[in-house]
Amino acid sequence: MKGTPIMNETVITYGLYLALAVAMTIWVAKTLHKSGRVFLVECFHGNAELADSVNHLLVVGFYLINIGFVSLYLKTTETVTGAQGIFETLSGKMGVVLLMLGGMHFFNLLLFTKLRKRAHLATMPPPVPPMLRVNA
Amino acid sequence: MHTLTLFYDARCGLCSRVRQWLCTQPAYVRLEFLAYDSAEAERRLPAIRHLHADQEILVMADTGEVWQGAGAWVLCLWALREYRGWSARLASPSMQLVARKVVHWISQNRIGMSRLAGFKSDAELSDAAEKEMEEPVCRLRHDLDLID
Repeated sequence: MKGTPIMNETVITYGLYLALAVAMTIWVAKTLHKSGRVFLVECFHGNAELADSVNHLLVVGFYLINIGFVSLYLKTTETVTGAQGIFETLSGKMGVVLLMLGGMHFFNLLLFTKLRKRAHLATMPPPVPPMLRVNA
Repeated sequence: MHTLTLFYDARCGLCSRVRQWLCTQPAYVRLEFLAYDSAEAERRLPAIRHLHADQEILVMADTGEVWQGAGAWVLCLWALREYRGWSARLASPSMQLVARKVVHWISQNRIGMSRLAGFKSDAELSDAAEKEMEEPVCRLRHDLDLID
C-alpha cells in the first residue's frame, strides 16, 4: 500500500476539478435562474407562476447536462506529476468545461429570445395601415 | 380581430392555388374566402365595385378595415402562425415599395401564369364537381326505374 498513496497528483487533480467544475455550474445556473425569470414572465404574458415553473425546469435540465458532462470528462489517461502537472491537467479540463458551460448558456439565451419573439408575434397588430375603413 | 375575409378571383388558377395553401396553414385568425364577384362579397363589402377587386386582391377584417394589393398580402402572412415574422419584415416602407411592384406584376399576369403552371381555378373545379354530381343522380334514377 506504501507504493500507491491515496492522495497522489491525479486524485488531487480530480478533487480540484470536481470542486471547481461543480461550483462553476452552480454559479452559471444561479445566474440563469435569476436573470432569466424576467424574460420568461414576459414570454408567458405575465403569468409568473408558469414562468417560475419553466425557469425551474430549465435550470434542472441545465444542471443534469452539465454535471453529467463534468463527471464523464473526469478521467485523465496521462499520469499527472508534480504541481505543474496538476495545474496543466486541471486547466485543460476546466477550459473545456467552461466552454461547454458557455455554449449551454448561449443556447439557453437563444431559447429565451425565441420564446420572447414568439410571444411578441402572437400579440402583434397588423403591420400595415388599412386602405379604408368600413362599418363592419 | 377574429376573422379575415379574402376577396379573391375564383376564376384564376394561381389565386385558387394560393387560397388552398392558405387553408392548410395554421393561422392566428379565421380566414374566409369569397369570390370578389359573388353576391355575398357585394353584400359584405358594398364598396367592392369601386375598388377594382378584379385587379388586386382585397382583404377585409371583421372590424371593418380593408387592405388591398401588397398590404393585403402582408395581412395574409400576418394571419399565419408560421409567417407573421415575415409580415413584419415586408411591412417596412422600402420592402413595401418592392412588394407593391411585384404584387402588381403578378396580378397583371396571373391568368397567363396559371395557364403556364397548369393550375386549375376554383370555378373550373366546382364546374367539374357539378358535372360529376349530375352523373350519379342520373344513374340513381335509372336504378330506381329498374326496380319499378
